[in-house]
Amino acid sequence: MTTYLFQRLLWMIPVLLGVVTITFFLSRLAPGCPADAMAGQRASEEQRQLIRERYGFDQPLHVQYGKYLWNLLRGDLGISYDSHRPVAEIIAEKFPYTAKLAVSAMIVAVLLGVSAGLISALTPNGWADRTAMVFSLLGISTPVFWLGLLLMYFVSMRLQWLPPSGYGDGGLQYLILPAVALGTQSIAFLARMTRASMLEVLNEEYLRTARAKGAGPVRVIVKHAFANAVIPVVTIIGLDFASYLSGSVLTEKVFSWPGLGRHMVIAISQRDYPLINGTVLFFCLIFIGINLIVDILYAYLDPRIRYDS
Amino acid sequence: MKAFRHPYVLFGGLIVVLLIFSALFADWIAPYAPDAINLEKRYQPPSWRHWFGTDEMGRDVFSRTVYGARISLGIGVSARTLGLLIGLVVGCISGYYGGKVDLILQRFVDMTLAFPFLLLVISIAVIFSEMEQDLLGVLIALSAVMWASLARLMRSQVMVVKERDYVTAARAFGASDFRIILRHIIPNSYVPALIWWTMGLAQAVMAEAGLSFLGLGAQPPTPSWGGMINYGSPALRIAPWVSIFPGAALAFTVLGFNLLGEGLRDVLDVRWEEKAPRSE
Repeated sequence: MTTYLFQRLLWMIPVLLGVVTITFFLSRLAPGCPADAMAGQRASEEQRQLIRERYGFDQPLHVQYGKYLWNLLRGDLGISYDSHRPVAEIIAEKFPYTAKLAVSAMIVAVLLGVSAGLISALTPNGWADRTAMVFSLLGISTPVFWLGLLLMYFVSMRLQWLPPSGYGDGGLQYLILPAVALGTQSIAFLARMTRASMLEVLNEEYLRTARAKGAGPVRVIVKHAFANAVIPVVTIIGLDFASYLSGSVLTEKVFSWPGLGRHMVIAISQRDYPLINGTVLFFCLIFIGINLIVDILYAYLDPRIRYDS
Repeated sequence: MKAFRHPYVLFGGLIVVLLIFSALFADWIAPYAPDAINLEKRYQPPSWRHWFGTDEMGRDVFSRTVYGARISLGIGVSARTLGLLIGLVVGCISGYYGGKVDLILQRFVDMTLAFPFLLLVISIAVIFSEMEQDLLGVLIALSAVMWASLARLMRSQVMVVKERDYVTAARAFGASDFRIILRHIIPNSYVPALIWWTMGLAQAVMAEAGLSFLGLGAQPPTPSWGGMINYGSPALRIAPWVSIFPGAALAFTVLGFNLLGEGLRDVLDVRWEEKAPRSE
């Protein structure tokens, strides 16, 4: 396991280097000099030249790339063109909001998705199963930003049950709609995956043995069946959680949630490349890190998985 | 024909055919021009004259929704097809030649898959948007991200097929690598690629709409579903129909592609699921 972990961590270096290289050159592909964007439209030629020299935009591309890598190693993601604040500082300020939304959406998704999947698997082809699967298909097919607007219109504007958008005082009432909108596709996928995995294990011999030994139905389902069906479910949870943490861009835009995703949308509209690149890089790091954690989790959930071999 | 007995294939196929029909014959179906402005009829609710109501410029939302199918389907299908071609070529070369070629190509695949899907698409699309090539940007961005999962899938397929006797026989008869890949390997490993293409159409259409919603896709006055939802959202309280109807068309389209993809997967009995993460 340790060898595997070491190999995976080592493997992250070239992948991250590739990600850094792609983001750097993508930002340099954009027309116009970054100094112009940084200086703003009203700046004089002298001011632009000063910025070019100060930030090294007048140097050859490979020198700029080297400097960019060196700065990254020191944790310097650059300075935002718009706010002139360090990108790392903006990320540290905005990410907790994104994390709060991601965790809430995942809690909603796991609670509803896994429960629906379990009920479906235990009553295959019954009305509960069919209803859950129809809703799951609709959930998978509904774009999150449209669902967000629907929830906002019906729940907030028509019924006036919850505030339509914003963070307010950070209370639960502001969190429910964005969390439900963001979590809906995961609810649908988790329901389907839980159902499929459970149906595969429900006819296994060891369940019959457990029943024969006098285990109660709840114990059989939870301890024996679900414990063996959980791996694909964990995969979905891990992948989706990584996606949520790495930028719920659309949901945050719809609900004016003050997270990093919404800030990135603003950065896009202002063509604030250091902020866009820094955010993308940060999100990639989280994405790769969570995928690694999910892989490690497999070994704990299923002792048959041994990475060293 | 057996495929059409599957309810998913039947319903999904019907939805897709209906959409293609709307996109192709939008000029006949739409009662108004999509960019016909009538400021006296701003934010009219749905009625017999305007089935889906009108927007902030008095334009007919139904007509714009029908025309919007062209952008959503056009970009979605083109991007997925371009991704299919790239993934097919990279996957075949990687799996067929192996060794260092495989190692290098697979590292590119790793890097592409290391990005959260929507973020990489946004990063590429924003550059093209700067060059005022928004639609081309969305097309390139989507295909540049989507190819990677197919390349990996095709690589594993090709690695199995290339060891078959008929490939060895073709090689013994002096067939070139290009001919072997084109005539023997691809025809014997295309089914997963076909399922990949179909199942990902929903993702491509949804991603195109997401980009338009962020202001990176088709620019006004060109009607695109994501853009219409975006521009209608500030008036959600007074004119919900401006955002709701194009969104319903989008959801209907995604549902159609999902049903078709899943149905085909069942019929062709391919036990495979794209492990690409969903970025929203």
